Amino acid sequence: MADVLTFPVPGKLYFKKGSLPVALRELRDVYRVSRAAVTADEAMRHDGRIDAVTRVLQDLGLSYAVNSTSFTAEAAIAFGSHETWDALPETGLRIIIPTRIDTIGAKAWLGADMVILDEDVLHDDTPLPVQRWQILDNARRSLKGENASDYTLAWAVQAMRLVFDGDDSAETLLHAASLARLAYAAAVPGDARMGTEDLLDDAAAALCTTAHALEQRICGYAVTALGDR
Amino acid sequence: MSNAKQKEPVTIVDSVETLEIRLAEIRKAQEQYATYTQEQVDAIFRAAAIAANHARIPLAKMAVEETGMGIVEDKVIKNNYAAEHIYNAYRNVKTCGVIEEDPVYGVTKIAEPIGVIAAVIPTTNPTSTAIFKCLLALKTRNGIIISPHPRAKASTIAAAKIVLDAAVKAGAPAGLIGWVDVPSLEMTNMVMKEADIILATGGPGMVKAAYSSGTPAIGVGAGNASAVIDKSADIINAVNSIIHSKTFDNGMICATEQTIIAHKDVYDAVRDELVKRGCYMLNDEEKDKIRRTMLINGALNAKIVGQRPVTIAKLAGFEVPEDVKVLVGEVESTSVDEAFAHEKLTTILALYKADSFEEAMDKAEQILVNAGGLGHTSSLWVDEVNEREKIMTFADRMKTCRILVNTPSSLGGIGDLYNFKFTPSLTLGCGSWGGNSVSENVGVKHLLNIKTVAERRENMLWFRTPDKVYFKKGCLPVALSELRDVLHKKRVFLVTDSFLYKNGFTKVITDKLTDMGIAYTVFSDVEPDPTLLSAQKGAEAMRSFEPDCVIALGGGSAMDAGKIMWVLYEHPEADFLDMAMRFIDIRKRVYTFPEMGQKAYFIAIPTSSGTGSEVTPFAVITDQTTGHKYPLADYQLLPNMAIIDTDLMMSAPKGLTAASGFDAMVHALEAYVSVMATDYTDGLAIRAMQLIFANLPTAYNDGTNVAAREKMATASTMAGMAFANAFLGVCHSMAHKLGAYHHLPHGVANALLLTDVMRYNASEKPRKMGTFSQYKFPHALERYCECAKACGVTGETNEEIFEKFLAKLEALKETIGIKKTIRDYGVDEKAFLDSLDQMSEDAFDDQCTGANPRYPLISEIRAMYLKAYYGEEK
Repeated sequence: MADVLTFPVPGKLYFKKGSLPVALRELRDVYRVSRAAVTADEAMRHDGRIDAVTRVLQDLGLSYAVNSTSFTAEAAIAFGSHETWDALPETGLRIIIPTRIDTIGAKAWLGADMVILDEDVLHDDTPLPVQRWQILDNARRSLKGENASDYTLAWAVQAMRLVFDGDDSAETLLHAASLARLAYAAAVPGDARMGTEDLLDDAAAALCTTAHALEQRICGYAVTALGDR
Repeated sequence: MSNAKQKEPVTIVDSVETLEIRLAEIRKAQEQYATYTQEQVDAIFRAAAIAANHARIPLAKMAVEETGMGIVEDKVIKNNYAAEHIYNAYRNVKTCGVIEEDPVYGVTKIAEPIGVIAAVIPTTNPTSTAIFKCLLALKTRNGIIISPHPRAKASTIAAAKIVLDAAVKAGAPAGLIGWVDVPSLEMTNMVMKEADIILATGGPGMVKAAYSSGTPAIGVGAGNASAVIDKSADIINAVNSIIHSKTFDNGMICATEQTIIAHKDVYDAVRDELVKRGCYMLNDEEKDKIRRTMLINGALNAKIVGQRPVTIAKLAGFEVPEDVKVLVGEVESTSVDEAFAHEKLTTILALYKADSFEEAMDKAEQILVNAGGLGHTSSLWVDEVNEREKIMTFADRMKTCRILVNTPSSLGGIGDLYNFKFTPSLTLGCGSWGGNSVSENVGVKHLLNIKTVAERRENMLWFRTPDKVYFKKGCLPVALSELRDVLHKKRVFLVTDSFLYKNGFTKVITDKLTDMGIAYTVFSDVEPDPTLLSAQKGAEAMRSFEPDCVIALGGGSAMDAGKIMWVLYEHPEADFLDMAMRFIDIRKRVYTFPEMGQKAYFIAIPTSSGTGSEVTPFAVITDQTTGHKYPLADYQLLPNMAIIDTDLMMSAPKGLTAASGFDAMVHALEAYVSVMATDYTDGLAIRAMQLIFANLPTAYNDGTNVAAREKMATASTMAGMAFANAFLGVCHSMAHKLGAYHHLPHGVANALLLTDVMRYNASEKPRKMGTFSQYKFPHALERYCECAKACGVTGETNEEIFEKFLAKLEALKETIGIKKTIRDYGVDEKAFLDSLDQMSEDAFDDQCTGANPRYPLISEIRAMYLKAYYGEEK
């Protein structure tokens, strides 16, 4: 067993509809950078969704380049899916702005200085049952992670709570997905090694139910999701 | 046509009655025009500008002939400018409907016309001003009624008619532009009163009438520009530009130069160049004659306005050659009695000599104050490469809204001819100095009503915690290894309280530091309520030791003291009162907290479960001289690392276990119902509550139970993370002050107040709700019930669940030995009642109050204190 456990989270987690321009203002006002390198999925460039970021950078008076290999900058912004997050350089200010509710790649978030969750740019056209299932799946698997702790459990359970009892609004699902993803990233080490313990009982107790009932319930969502495909 | 309602179409507006009819027509036309699209309006605007431009020569000729003033060829330029430059400036400007849209911020701006503009047209620039104002009206979907000057009515009306006809032909409603054919004072006043806004161009008397009419007015003022020629100026450029500017339309543009103030070193050169280029230096006798002719009873003689020198001289009683361009009078006095100091609006210049740049500015100022022209225009001729500071000095001094550098001031003042970011206009605002409401060149924006549509948006929220949070029984030495292996720290300053130090709690740390070869020093002079004094002492010790790492070990006091010392060490210049200033929104606060971590890395290690201070951006310090507590709150204070090692909690005595354990519970509860709660803080807060219910009694009764201690440690840090981001509420506000005034331990104070505060917050019809965009309606009851259910409470209704939850909390308090009332803790009744008013007000003022779901009145806080004191309503 590890001698020490940690609860890693992104340096700054910012969220709310419309938070993107507000958070990015920190580039000028807090970090005082003058150059930002933006990495974006090609789709973002094509349909102009990248404007949500570039327009803010322009207004802030920053120099920036999109998908350029030669542009040196103090800040790197990954705008898009997990491929862009993984492409962030090791040094300098690292900002992730997800545009898809991807189930993979969350580890990259933990190394970022700032993660911005803004439903204006973060969409998921995955069918609702599949979204719900993915959240529950992530949360469930986090309970078995080698680095699972009460902290990761707290967030995994909250994610489940939101799926079970929350409304199906974009905002609720966005946060449920993030909570589940962050719990997983913190609980499961990089090589996805699972631990010997399973915190399912604790999670079930936290939800005032039994482990069996909880598993059943989660299963139900899986079936619905499958049925939907 | 005997029907009284059906009137003859009005062909001439020469009476109040006909004016009324015309105004009604304009209004009707405008109401229709107000529905036109940007596209329609722009087509009309363009057509009108073209038509006006085509007529520039005939209109110029008409103006000179009718008024007997000015020069046809220069008026042609004015007409051309009024059409062309105005069209160009606004061709792409949005003036109709939605002019700005920001879907992200949820703001939309909509432009609507004002209605009917009353345009008072001067005799000096009749056709150009008429074209200018009519074009602006067309571009902004306004109607316009023109009140011409009697001496220029025919040419003014001709210009207006050309614009109207072109506009109607291009699709504008008929009758959108109107005018008074036979102007009179009565009708001008009526026009001003009936219109929705006045564009008043004329003398101060007329402008004053406009402002007094009761209708919003945009006026202008008299000009009296001085051209200051500094000794560094390019004399030839300066003098020729001034002559060119002054002779333009015989000096009738209000922004034109009225005086030259030349530095003595270049005075002769200026004089010589003036003469060389055709100006006439008046002798003393001629100057007097001009003085007598220029001002009649203190007012400008209309006969000399817009005339050439040959005409003026004749009027004054002497002769000059026909080709003289400007009459120049060399004078010294800047008092109101010197006629040459006044606005001349003709081809006369005053010439002053100044001994220095300062003196030149003095004279220019005096002229404006004594002889009028404040707010209008001034100009400076200077070497703009090598004497740049003079430009700013001049600009600072001159109370004019146009300050032109190395530019002819008449053609320069109207904008867009000599500087292309300067709005082209023939109505030049003079600011408050000139009695105007506008201090810039008037344009379309002044003729629009802008509506702003703002949709509700929620504030960005966040989740922040120290970079590294380490936990587990025995993790302390392992976590500390990072100091050497990862962080490469060499000198540690260890802050703790004397009890912990004397009882060997620091040993595990200092031993490890020694092992790693890291130098350290211990500061253990921390009191239970850390004071500013001890923090200053600690900071001083830090300054001499120069650590690159600070470790704060202990309860809230030691960690808070450590944070404050850290601030004082890194920023001795920071002002405490500024740092402690209250804010509504932490991201919008007035004070910018200085950046921390530039000298030392901060590690917080709690020894109780607890205040959660190891993961919060807060620190509270007491000013020992006044007893005042200063709460500091800023994410710069967030420790870089938190180490939560159960080994350090094992020997906490019962009282401490109970008080700090319940403090953590209140943290979790307040964070959960806070207006700033988010899913991230909710998850942690609820888990913390569950862990505390399950483990606090055991930790209290059997402090050796490792599992219980570990869970309590986790719960405390979790609750800390929750309130570090969601903040607290009025329970903590009240507990802070109760502790300050009556010395109850923080956790106990919270425990005594909690249930009353919960009942207070849970009201479904609170007197006042907390103000925060995401908090849409009072729902604290619902939120408490979510906590209750998560903690195993069941029931049929929210009210039932809530009551059972309160009972569960009361039961927990009893289990851990918390008494029932404040009185039970030996707080004297008289002392309590004496302090009550001030304490209630102070609690209200506490930074924590803002996040409470229910915004408290001071009287309500007072009532809660009383209830908590007596245990019943009093």
